[in-house]
Amino acid sequence: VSGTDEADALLRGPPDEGYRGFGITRTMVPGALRLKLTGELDLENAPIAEHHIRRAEEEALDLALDLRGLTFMDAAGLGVVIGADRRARGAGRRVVVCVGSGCVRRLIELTRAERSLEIVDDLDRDAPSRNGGSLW
Amino acid sequence: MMPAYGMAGHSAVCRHEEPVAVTAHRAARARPPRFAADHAVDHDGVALAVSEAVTNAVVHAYPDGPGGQVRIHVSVEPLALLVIVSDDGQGLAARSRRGGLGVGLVLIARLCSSLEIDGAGGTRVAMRFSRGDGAYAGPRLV
Repeated sequence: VSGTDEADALLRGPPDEGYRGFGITRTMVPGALRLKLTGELDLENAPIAEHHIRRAEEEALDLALDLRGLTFMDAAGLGVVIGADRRARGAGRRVVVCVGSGCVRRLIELTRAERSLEIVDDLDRDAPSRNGGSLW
Repeated sequence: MMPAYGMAGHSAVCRHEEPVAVTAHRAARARPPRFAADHAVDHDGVALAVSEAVTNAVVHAYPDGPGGQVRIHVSVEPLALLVIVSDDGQGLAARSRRGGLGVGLVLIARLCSSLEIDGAGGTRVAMRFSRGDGAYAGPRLV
């Protein structure tokens, strides 16, 4: 079971001066859900990201947050990621975070969030899902 | 209602009025980094620091009532870029713990070369960024 829903298209705003649209793409695999975030994750878009993450939590799924497509993330966005990780740990679920390089990794480094988050370089290689060995 | 937003010299003013405050916040954040790019300053660092400072103002300065102004002033010094984010809100002493990780000021302090905060009668955050090659020399994941 895999697929991509319409969230990506719905959430992308028109490009504007100094703006970069924010998007989320959902990809389901057995027992897990990958959310690929693109654009800017800040105070404005954090509630959208949180909404989609909480919706995934209602499905009791392990979660992979692919942040490599983000062009900007600040502490408001990081708070969404850390909140998801904390809730998952409390519920016996798993959240893996792929940050790639660039601004998101820098924020992770500055805040030392890598101490609490499960960060991987390659979702397919480093984070096999628990269900049947399927990959994220 | 659209935010009152404009540029006067190197100053930007955005009026914090829900629900468009965060839109103004993003627009305001975009200005200093663009300016920074022309002056050999760490563009991404300026963007993140300004975002944190403006976020603090949006979240904490005017928790009740009709809102108010958040001002951004950017000036070029011989060795640094100076960005001042200020508001006329309730000041630091009265700030509530409304959400967030509480790491905004810590981030700002790590990103700029000097930081001055005046929290009496509104809040004024003055961030100075060294002008150089713009290279990031902070901590790295190992």
